[in-house]
Amino acid sequence: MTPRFVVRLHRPKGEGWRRLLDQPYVETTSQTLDLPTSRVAIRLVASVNAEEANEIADQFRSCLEGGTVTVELES
Amino acid sequence: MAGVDLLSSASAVAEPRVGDQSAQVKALARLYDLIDANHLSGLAGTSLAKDGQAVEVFWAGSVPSILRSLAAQSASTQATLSIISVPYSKEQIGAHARALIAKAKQQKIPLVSVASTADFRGLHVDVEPSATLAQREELQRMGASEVGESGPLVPLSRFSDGQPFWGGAVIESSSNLCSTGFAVQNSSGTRGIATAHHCGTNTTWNTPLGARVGTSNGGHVNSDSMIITGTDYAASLYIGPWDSVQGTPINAKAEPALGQPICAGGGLSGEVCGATVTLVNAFDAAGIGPGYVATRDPSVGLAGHGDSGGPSYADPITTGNVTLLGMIISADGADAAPCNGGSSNPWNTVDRQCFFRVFFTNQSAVASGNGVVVLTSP
Repeated sequence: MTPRFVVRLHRPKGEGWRRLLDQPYVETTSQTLDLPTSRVAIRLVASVNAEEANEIADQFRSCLEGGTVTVELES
Repeated sequence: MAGVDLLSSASAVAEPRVGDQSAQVKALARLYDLIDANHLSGLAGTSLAKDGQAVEVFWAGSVPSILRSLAAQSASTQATLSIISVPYSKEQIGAHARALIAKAKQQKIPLVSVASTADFRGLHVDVEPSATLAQREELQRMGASEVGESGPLVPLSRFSDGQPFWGGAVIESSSNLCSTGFAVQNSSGTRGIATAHHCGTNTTWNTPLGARVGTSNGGHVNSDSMIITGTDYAASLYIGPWDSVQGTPINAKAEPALGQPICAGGGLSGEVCGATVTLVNAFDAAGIGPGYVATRDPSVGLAGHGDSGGPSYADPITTGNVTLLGMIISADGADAAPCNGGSSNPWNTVDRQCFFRVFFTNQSAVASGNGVVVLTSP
């Protein structure tokens, strides 16, 4: 199975990042059901490489009004 | 059946301990048995003395001889009944109270409650602090013997729970809104209530109306759970919609099974049933688990934002019992569905999303991860 990159949002502020969840590079997402959402895991499609994953993370970062973004290779 | 012969002799019974009302409670049970069996009318109420022995019975009208006999017999027992004559029975007090409430409502007096005075001879009325002097005097003209003051009564509900706290209620910290899950107990007997770790560890949690629920611990990352302690908690959970005041005991706990019909009971969504377990031994994208995924038709979300930490249980329709299965954790953003309660649910703001497919952690994972046992009602 091809390892996938996962973009993680920690305590994201604002709602702008949600529109990126519809992008084709997103395979699945998991968001906690607290209010406001404190943790989002965005699993990217298999074709996304490390460089692209970091670019995608930057897109999310630019849409946040607060919080942090990390990229991990799925274990 | 007359209750006189049920009185026991005091000679063989030890003196009651301070605060022990068991003898008084038994005497009251005999009193009510006697009243029911003989269809007696005239009771206004009863009062227990702090000594654990005296029971005052307030009675309107002539006292039936069978009741006098019961009181006389009680003189030789641990709990002594004394009968005190008052002008009104509890039925008459109730009628006066309702009439007074109706009049106060017509005159827009901010009334909080009406009750018997401590001597059962009149009505005690509490008003909100905003009541004017004229309104208080008007209440006395309407028949109030005493007028006091208190804050408005708020029924315990999902959004305004009180001790002992139940699962499925709304809690908030300085930064997050979440739900309580279920009561637990550690090995030293300390009770707490479980909720989701991601809601916020090591912080204070209150109800939306400001009652303190307790303080969360460091919790357990892998099961995404933590324990709130510091007040009192019970093995019950709220059922029904977001504003429900109804709860039910948790009768049992179990592991989820594939194909099992389940409900979720987050504090903001309220109870949503009609879902089926579609995955077990499951872990979400953050590695949280073990848990399960349940899916329902997309007409209504099973859970949504703010429901994190809330309970999930086997659909009780067939058995009537509540069997706890797990805790609401997360959802896939692609599985959005309308939030339960629609526009009549004030939690359904624009920023709140709900989902028809939801991930739950197993209650057993919460218990083992935090070193506690999940409490159930016998």
